[in-house]
Amino acid sequence: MNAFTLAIASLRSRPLHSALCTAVVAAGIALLCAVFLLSQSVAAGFARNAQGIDVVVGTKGSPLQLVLSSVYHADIPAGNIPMHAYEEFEHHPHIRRAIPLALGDNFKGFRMVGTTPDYLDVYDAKFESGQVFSSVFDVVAGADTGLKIGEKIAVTHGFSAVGDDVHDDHLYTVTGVLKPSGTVLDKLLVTQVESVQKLHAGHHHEHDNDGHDSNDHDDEEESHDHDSHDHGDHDHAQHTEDHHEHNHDNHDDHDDHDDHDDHHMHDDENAAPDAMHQITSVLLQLRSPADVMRLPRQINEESHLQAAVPSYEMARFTKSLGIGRQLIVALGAGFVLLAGVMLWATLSSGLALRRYDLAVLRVLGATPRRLAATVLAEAFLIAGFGAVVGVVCGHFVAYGTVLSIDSLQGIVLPHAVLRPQFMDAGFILIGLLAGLLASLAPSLTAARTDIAALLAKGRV
Amino acid sequence: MFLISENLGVRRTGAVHLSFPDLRIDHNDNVLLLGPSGSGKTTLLSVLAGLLPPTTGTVRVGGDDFYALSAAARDHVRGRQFGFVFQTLHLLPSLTLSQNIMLAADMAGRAPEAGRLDQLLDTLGLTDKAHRKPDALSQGEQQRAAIARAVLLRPQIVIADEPTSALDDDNARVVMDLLQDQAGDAGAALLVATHDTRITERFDTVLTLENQMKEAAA
Repeated sequence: MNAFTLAIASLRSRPLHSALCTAVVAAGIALLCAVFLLSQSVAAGFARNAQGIDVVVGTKGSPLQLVLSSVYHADIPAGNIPMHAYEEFEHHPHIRRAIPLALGDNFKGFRMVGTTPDYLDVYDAKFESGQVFSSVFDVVAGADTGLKIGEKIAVTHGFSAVGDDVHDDHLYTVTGVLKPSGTVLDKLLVTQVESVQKLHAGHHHEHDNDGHDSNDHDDEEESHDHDSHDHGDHDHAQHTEDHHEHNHDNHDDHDDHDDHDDHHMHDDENAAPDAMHQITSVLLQLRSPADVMRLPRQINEESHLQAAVPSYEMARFTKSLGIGRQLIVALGAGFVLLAGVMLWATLSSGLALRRYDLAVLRVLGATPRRLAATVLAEAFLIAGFGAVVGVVCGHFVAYGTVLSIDSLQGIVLPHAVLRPQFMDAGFILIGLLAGLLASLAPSLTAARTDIAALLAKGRV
Repeated sequence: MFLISENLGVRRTGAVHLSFPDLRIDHNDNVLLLGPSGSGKTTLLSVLAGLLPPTTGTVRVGGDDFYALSAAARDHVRGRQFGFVFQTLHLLPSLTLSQNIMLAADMAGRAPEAGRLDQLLDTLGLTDKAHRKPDALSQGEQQRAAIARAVLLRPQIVIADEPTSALDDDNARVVMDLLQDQAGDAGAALLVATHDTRITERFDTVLTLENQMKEAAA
C-alpha cells in the first residue's frame, strides 16, 4: 500500500467532500479550457474561411461588417456597389482573380450567393453529385442545406429564414450538391450573379419600404448620396488639383475623395440605379502579397468603394473580443484559484481530523516525508481527476457553444472542437499545479505533527 | 539486552521536569510500567520509541544509541522492531481490517513472512471480518486487530499503552492473554504502561512511576 492507495482509501471514506473538491477543480478547468478552445477554433475558422481571399471590396461602411457579411456570411451587407466595379477589377493588372458576390436572399436561412464558379474554387469545393450552375436560376447547394439534385426551390428575400417575402415567381433548380468542406460553403446556395440580379430587378419597386430589405434600402441611400454630390461635380473636380497645389485644407479634403469617385461612377448610377447592375461585393485574389496593403489603401482613397483585408479585420476583431475573453479567462482562473483554496481548506480540516491517523502511521514507522506524501497524493488525485474531468467538460461546453451560436456555424467546425488538443495537457498541468500549491502547507503540517504530544494527550 | 535506558529526563512546558527510572529489557521479558495518570508513562514510551528526544540520558536499542541515529533511521528501526497497541486501538477508518493490519508492514517498508497475515487472522478469529471496515467491527474485534497489527512483523518489543484500563475484568483478562501469547509467539518483549493494578501479578518486572507532575508542583 503506497501513498496513493492510502489517499484513495481516505478520499473514498469522505465521498461528498472529495466529489465537491473535484467538481470545483473541474469547473475552473472546464471554463478555462472552453474559452481557449473557442477562441482558438474561432481564429482558426476565420483563417480557414478567408484563405484565398486577399481583399474584399464593397460599399463604404464598416470594414468589419463587409468582411463578416461577404467572407463569413455572418452579418448583413451594408449596401451594394455597381457591377462595373467588378468589371474594372477583373482587368486590373495587380489582381489575379476578382469574384463578384450578389447577396440578398436565403432559402430556409441558407444564404443565396450570386457569383461565378471561381467562388467554388476558392474553397476547393468538390461535388457530391451534379455539376456547377450553367444557366440562370441553376443553383449549387452546400452540404448542410439538405437539398438534392433536381429540387426546385423558392428563395426568401433578405437574410432571415422567417419572412413572407418569397420570390415564388422564379424557382431555382438544384444542379449540383457539394461535399462537406468545413467552410461557410457548407451552408450556402451558390448561383450566377444574374439569377440574384434578375430576381431583384423585378422585385425592386414593389418593396421599396420593406424594413428588413437591406439591399433596396441601401440602394436608395446610395442614390441620395450621389444626388447630393451631383451638383457642382465638375467644379469640384476642377478644384481638386488646385487644392493639392495649395496644401489643401481639411474641410475640402473630404470632398475631394467623394468627388473623385463620383467622377467615374455617377453616369451609370444615375442612368440605372437598378438591381441588374449591382452586386454586393467583390472578392479579390492579388498577384503579389505586397499589394495586400497597398491596393486596399488605394481603393479606399481613390474610389467610392471600401476595401477590407479579411485577415487584418479579423485580427482586429479578435483583439477587441480579447477583452471579453480576458474576463472569462479571469473567471476561469478565479475558479481554479477558488478550487485551490477549497482544496487547501479541505486538506487542512481533514488533517485536523486525521492527525491521530497520521500519528499512528508515524508510530508504525512512517517518516515525516511519507506523511507529507500521503497528503500530497490526496491533493494530486483530486486535482488531477478534477482537471481531466474539467478538460473533457470544457470540450463539450465549447461544442455546445459552437452549436448554439448561429453565426459560428460554418466558421467553426463543431466536431473539431471535441478533438483532444495539445493544450489539454497544459490544463491538466495547471490543475495539478493548483493541487500542489494547495497541499503544500497541509503536507508540511502533516510532516511536522508532534507525535509525542498527541500520544501524551492519550487519544491515540 | 535489546532496550536499555539510563538517566532519562524530559523537560516539559514550564518548570516541570520528568525523570524516569532506568530500564533494561531483554527479549521475552514482560515489563509493567505502573503509575497514575500524569506520571509520564506515555512520555516515557515516546522517548523509548524514538519519538521524543530526551533532555537528559540515553536510550540504547540493540546496543546502538537510539538518538544518535537520524530521525529517519529511528523511524525505520521503530517500524521494524517495535510493535504498538494504543489505548484507543486506533485503526484507520478508511481501511479494511486486513489493510489496517498490513499497514504495519507498509509503513515499515518490509513484507511480513509468507502466510503471517492469514495465520494471525485465523488465530485471532478475524478471518471472516478481514474485509470489514473498523466501524463494522465490535470493540473486541478491533482490539484483536490492533494486537495483530502490533505483532505482524515479529518485532523485538511490543509496547502497549493502557490496553486494559477501559475494559471489564473478563475482557481485560482476554486482552492480556492475547497480548502475552502473541508477543511470546513473535519472540518479542512486552512493555505495558498502565495505571490498572488488576494486571500487576502477570509481570515478573514491575516499575513504578510516581506522580511526578504533582511532585514538581509541590
